[in-house]
Amino acid sequence: MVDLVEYAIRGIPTGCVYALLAVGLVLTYKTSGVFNLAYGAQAFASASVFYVVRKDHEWPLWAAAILAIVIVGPAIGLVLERFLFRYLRGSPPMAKLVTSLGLLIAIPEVVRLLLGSGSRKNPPPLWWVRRTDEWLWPQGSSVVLDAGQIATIVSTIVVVIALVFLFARTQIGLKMRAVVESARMAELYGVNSERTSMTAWALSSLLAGLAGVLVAPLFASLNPLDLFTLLVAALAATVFGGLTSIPLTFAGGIALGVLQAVMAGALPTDSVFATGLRPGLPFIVLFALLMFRPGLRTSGELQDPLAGVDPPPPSPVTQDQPKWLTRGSRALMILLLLVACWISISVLDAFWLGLVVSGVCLSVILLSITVATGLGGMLSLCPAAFAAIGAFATAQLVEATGMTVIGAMIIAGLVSATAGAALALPVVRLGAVYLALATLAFALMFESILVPLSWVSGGSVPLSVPRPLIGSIDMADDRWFLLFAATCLGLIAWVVVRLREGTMGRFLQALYTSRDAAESIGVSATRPRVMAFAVSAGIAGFGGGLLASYAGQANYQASFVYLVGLVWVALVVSTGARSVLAAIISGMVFFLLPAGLERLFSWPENWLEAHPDASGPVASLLEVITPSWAVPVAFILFGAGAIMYARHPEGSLQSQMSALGRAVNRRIDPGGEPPDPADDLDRESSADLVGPS
Amino acid sequence: MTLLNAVHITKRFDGLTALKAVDLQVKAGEFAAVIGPNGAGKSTLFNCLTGQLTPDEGTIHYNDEDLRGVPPAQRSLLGIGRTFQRIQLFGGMTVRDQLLVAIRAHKHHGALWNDLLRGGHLTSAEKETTDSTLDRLGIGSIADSPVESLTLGMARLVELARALVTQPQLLLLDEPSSGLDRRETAHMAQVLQLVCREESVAVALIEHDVAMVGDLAETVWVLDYGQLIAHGPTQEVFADEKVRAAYLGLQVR
Repeated sequence: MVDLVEYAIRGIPTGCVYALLAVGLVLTYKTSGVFNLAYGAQAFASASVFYVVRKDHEWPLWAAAILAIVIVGPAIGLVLERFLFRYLRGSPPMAKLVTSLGLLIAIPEVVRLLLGSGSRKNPPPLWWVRRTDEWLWPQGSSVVLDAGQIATIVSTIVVVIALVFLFARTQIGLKMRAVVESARMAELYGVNSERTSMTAWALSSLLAGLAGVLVAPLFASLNPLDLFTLLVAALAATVFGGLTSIPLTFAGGIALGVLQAVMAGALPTDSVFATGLRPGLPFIVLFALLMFRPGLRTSGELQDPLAGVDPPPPSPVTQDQPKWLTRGSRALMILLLLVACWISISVLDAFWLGLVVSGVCLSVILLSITVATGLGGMLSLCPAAFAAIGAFATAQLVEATGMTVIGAMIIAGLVSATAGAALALPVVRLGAVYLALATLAFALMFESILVPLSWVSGGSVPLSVPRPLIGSIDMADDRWFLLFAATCLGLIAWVVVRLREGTMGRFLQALYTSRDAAESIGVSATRPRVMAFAVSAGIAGFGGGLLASYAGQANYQASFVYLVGLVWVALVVSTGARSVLAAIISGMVFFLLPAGLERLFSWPENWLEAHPDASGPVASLLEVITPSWAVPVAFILFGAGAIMYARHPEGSLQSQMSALGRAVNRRIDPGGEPPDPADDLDRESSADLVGPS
Repeated sequence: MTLLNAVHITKRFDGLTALKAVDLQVKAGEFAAVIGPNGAGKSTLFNCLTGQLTPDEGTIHYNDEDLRGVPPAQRSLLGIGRTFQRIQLFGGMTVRDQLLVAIRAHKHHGALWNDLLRGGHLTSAEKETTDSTLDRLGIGSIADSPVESLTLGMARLVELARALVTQPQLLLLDEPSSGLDRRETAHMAQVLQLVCREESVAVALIEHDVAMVGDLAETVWVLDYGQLIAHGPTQEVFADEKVRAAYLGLQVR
């Protein structure tokens, strides 16, 4: 019993961190309707700045804390609010979520470019000492807290008091509460909602910075992935507070930390419970809360009382291109892809050919995002998990039964589809934001609980997967494998197009644009979406098997980490969620862009080597550029694409195609307006015709 | 014969009781109207009938079948159609596609292999059905227009067409003339009369236009503050003092 109390006390600092992160999230969600997934990245930025000035430059504590937490933290928040989220206020939840996804990917890479990418070991605590274990209290008792933990508890108490004071006693607190309810309503009463919203962003970003600096010493070294995983854990507290209640969120965060610590102490250390369940606990709690917390199931999204005056959300499809252009561009596309295939086989060297084949395999996986998000309107954040299921199943099937690899891939696709259907059954009823969070929770549960198990992943050594062998054709040759993968891609792309243009696509779109109306004419609210989710998971599973077969092994860490899946989603959605071509382009870009950039950034180095006597500003500028920029710059570009998504919700590719279609139409038929069906009736505002209320 | 029989429907939203033991009966082929001031609970009642909301108390029988726990889509398949006060058309689709979704949902054409083998293209039978439905409402010319280009009056007719193409026995219409000008309202009234008489569809109509209710409805149900304060044949109800005081007094002098 005494032990349990001790464990519980140890859990309080972690709980405080959860609480701080969760409260910051609630603040921005309440004031801008943005569920800011980039919050973990903001925390990482502040923590990095703190590390650099405190540890590398040995600044005094107060100066380092002020720079990292009070200046850099809010500054990031203000920039994001002013240049990005302010313009997203009326956008659908999915657009806001994708934008924050882009930031999540881009911000850490920007930090790496600016502050250097070396690993930062033993982050310093927010205390007078430079290492957490240099200061312990109370000394000699059974529970000893170190400097980092003490700093966390003290900071949390200060933040709680400050927030309570702010919201209960000050005018800005009152204004924030008004803006939460409805920004426009508050404006009607003379509240400057933009300034209030900026204040809220600055405040929540300050909390992100504080949380980042406090959290950093918990890990052996500073990296954005750990912080983001911690953020997802903190989401459980956020959902516990219903995304609105700050006191409940605090309580939830601390309870979660304590529960985790008690479980760590109470469970036997060598059982599956300890190895899998303990790190997975926050994600299980998050998933369970999303499933069972009353009020979240149906809609749950923040409702503005003035939402009735909004124009409808933009439709995900544009049909303003003529049919022959669609057919023509499709034929052209197939032709171009065939030519690209032929060039790859006959011209490219082994290095680039390998990247192209990987890109083709990835494109198959990315088509799963086209089905779930593009056709189904569900922002599923776990495509990598289903790809991994497919890869593991392929490897295990081949090893256990000795069957052919292609057969194993197909069965693996079915296994993955079954898993997808099982996940979809409870999840598809949730509103857009909660569905995304539930799939994210699933991805992390999968990663922390199932992946370490040897019957899933084969343990610490990745399972090997052979290349297919058809008759005398041995796919060990990359050129044959490219043909095989491209054939698979073509088949699955055909399936996706058929679904999009068929009954399934229509049902899904009806459900997405107006669920009530779809149900009122007999379209089940769950069945088409569960089917879409299962098909999507199946495609991801098959693609995962394909990728594993090409790589020779089902390597989770190298290919299927959940964060990589988030990059895939950001890429596909920003290029064009409904477009098959967009998925293929995304798959190629994901592998080719970093490699291409690396070549590009190695030119200066080579040039300087060739011209050793070069000097002056040009030479010193060139010296700065190194090939190590390639990956950060590529990821910043991926992130920037997703950030741009807010402006073109149909995706950049689709918006270009539509513009082309309109231009061609004008050229052919100048002055020809689309037929106006309402010539004889008075034209009314058509603004409120379409879409959910 | 009573087609729809809702008894003692009560619905609470947190503290607010939106409906207090409300009854509603609609006979087969009958034209009934539900009237009452804004906020009286009319749309809430409809949402309970179609399954969008679950009533806290009370029973709903349709064709003697208890609708408790029957999901909204299933109720549509049983023959209950509806339109919405705030128009709900499917974005990014043509007018014909709206009707096509309804037809396919009722024919259970949602199977995956159907799409893969046949591609889900419009069949000639489907084209005929959609054309004839749209023509009957006088909007055949807009069949292939995107819904985003429609006027409000057109959009309300498209919603009606989408409900009709499922061949319902009971049609719940939530303020079909709201936002329409006088000419459009007259056209709508004409269409509704045609529908109810020719196809013997029972209609329950929420409407603020008292003249329209007087012309069309055989029976009237009056709600006020979530309670049924009167019901019966139209002329009797319109003569009722209580009803005049609660609602009509403002409009009928």
